[in-house]
Amino acid sequence: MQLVERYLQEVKRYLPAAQREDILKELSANILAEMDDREAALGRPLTEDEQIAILEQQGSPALVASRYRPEQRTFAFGRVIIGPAIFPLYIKILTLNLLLTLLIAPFTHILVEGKVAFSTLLLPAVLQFVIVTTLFAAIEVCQQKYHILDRWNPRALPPLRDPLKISRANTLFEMFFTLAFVLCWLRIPGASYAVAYLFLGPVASYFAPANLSPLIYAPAWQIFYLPILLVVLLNLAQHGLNFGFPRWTRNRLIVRVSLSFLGLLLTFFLFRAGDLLLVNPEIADATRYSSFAFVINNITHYSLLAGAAIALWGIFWQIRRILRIPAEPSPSRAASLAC
Amino acid sequence: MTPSTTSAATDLFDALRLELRRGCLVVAVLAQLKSEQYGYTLRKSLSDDGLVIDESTLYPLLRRLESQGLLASEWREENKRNKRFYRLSASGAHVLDQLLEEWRRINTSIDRMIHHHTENVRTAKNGQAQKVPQRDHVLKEF
Repeated sequence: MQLVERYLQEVKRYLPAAQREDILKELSANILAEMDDREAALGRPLTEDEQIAILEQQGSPALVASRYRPEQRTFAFGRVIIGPAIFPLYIKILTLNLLLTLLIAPFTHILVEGKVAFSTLLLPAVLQFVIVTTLFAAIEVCQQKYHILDRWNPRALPPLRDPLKISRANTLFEMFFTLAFVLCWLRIPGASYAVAYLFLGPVASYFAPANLSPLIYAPAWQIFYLPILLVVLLNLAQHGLNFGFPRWTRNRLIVRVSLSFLGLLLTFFLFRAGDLLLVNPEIADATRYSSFAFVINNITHYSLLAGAAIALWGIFWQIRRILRIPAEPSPSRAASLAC
Repeated sequence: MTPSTTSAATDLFDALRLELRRGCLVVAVLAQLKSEQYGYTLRKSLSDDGLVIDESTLYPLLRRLESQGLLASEWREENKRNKRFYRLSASGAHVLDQLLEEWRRINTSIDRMIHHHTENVRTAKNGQAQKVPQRDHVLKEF
């Protein structure tokens, strides 16, 4: 019955969060009852093709889930432009695009003009709205004409996800960047240039002045240098462990939450420390770089805020995952249970 | 009729049929749930009585009717599986009575209209049938 589980996993993706588990439980009970009934009539277990036929009869996961939405919301302008089946996805994509636009556009404006005005943000937001809406209106036309949502292949359903499995590829990616950060942080000769070269190519040479850097670290960094190094090294150790044993356990998740919390704490104190980069007073035309330092400090502050938001989100998910894992019995308790 | 007009007429019929069925399905489901059933058996019994309904339409409909207080539900084990059994609530029974009364009234009205229309057509045909020989007679005189 793995096919049924794969089908339900896909339906779950589109269901409203509030009733998700209850709907899945009921849908699963009905599908399994139908399969039991068919098996009883045939007097043998169902073949894969017979199971597929029952699932196809239920409808495509996206369509089935859309019918469970309490409010069948649409985008209408005289007539329906975006129907209830794709409206939730439309809202999701539109919100994500608008949020990204409103986060990235201010950075671009600060970098180019040194300030942000509301009017300059309006055009990219309106453009996003028009593009996303047009795209979904086209999908709706195709849905009405060719019923694209009804066409689906149960054999192509994604395999069952293990929520506790750790992706080795992701871990390797994290290990690489953490290691690069450690090398730069320890000021290993040439490390910063090598990392910059990796991202920027030959352009990196423009950021590696031969004699003096126009910006220097503020004294606040001396306080945070060792704590940051320690937290990053602990993270690196955990990434190494995750790569070797790619499965979350309760204890490992607790360590992960603690490290994320420490990172969040450091971010908070760094944010409160004020300007983190200062103009190097030893360079000849120091005043020329004050606006550059202002922009860089602004970007650093916004990056710290974004980092804190990401860390908070991560902590929330890790705690949620911890609460769903049953507690591992300690060896002594396991022994007493065995007795 | 060109293929495009045939397809448009079919689409229109499908849309109107869907609209007509929507209300009828609610009445059928409420009527069927006078005795307790769970989703799959209800779909089967409706289908056995000649009202085929998709799973993706019926199961959400049951939840909606329950949230409106017309049905009551209970999770119970049957054949080693947990199932959600639905039955008509007291307010559901009251609404079903009203809906059935309305259904019968509409049915009678439509029957009466169709009957009148058939009568009118028959009368008109008879009238034409009586006129035709006269015309023939006139033609013959010429």
